[in-house]
Amino acid sequence: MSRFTFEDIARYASGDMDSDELAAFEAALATDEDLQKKLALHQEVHSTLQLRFAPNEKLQAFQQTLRQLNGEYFAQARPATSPAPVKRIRLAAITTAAAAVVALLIWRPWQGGDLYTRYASVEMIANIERGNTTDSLLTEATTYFNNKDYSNAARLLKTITDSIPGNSFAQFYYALSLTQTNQQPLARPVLLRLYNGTSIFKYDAAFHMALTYVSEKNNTEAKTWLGKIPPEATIYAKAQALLKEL
Amino acid sequence: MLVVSEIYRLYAPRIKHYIIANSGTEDDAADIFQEVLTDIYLQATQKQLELTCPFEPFLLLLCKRKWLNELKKRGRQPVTKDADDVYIGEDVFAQAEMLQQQQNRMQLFLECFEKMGDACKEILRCYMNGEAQEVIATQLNVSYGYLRKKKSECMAGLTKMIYAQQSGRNKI
Repeated sequence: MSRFTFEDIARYASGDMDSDELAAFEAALATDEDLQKKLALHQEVHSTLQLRFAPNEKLQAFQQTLRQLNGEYFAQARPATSPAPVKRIRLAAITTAAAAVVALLIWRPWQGGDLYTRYASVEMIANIERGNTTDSLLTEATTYFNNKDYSNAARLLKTITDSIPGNSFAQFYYALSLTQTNQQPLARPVLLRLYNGTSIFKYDAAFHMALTYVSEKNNTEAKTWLGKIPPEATIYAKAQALLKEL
Repeated sequence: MLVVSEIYRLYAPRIKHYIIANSGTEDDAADIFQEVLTDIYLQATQKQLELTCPFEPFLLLLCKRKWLNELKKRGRQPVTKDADDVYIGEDVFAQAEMLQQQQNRMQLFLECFEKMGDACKEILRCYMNGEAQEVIATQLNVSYGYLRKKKSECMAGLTKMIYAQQSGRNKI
């Protein structure tokens, strides 16, 4: 068993190790088979994700050629001049269905509880960088939040958002802490700011804005907010699952 | 793309015949043919697939397997009306098996990725998209230092999850 963790491996692969660490890591790598295997796995996972998410113009050109040839060789297939709208719709439907299945498996809405409780459950991920006062507050807030002590989480997160208004991470979980303590009118302006901004939480904010209305049985407004979430957003599948239930 | 045209000319009619003879439509045949060629293209360009068996039976076997899987997904009982008269040797089965294993492996990676938290998925997606980290940090409204740290944490978490799943499977 190697003394280096998966995180060390990731930092090595990203070139984030200092010279002493690097020397120690490479010395271990020369003889440690377990470490070699884990590094190889890291690299394979990395290249698979690149293959999946990086724009690949050659692949797109290849697929366009296939679509054109499909039009020639398969009578019912889409015409060569069209970028296969039927196929695209079907693929989109399959993708959405697959995403919805994953969403269902993750959120397990059949496990009981009302609609709001089932969809509003979120875990706060520690977001620590420098070990300063803000980070100490965040650590404490994370513990409160994940222990469902939302009042105390909201109190600490408000301190952070007051001192650093641009901290979208703190804003998001502050809003969620407020919604969990039935303070929807206070949560909504925070969620709205996030939705109108460009942070990573933009569409999650829209989703939780919808949930604030679900908690008040205002399905019309909830649906409007869910409708603002585009298919490329990571929360889309969950939003669609909720939409179906409304 | 002359090679691709030639592949269509030589093999598309055969695949069409096979799929229609086995409860499919011409549209199904077009989809299956396109998906298999894309799989082969990706394996060849990204995973250094080198064909050591004849191409024709390899292609036919992959199309046939993909179609049978599709029938199973649709809840239809696969029938086995063999429309092809091509001999499929052990080398072809072995190479098709290898490709299938590669695809299963990729599938596992992507399934584990989907199980990650939203923040990690967003960061890794942006990162893999090839944009400069400074740009990603601005887009995601986080600091450059935080992004680098988080990216390593996310990759580590993902690799660890995959490693655990693989170890679990190997024990079975």
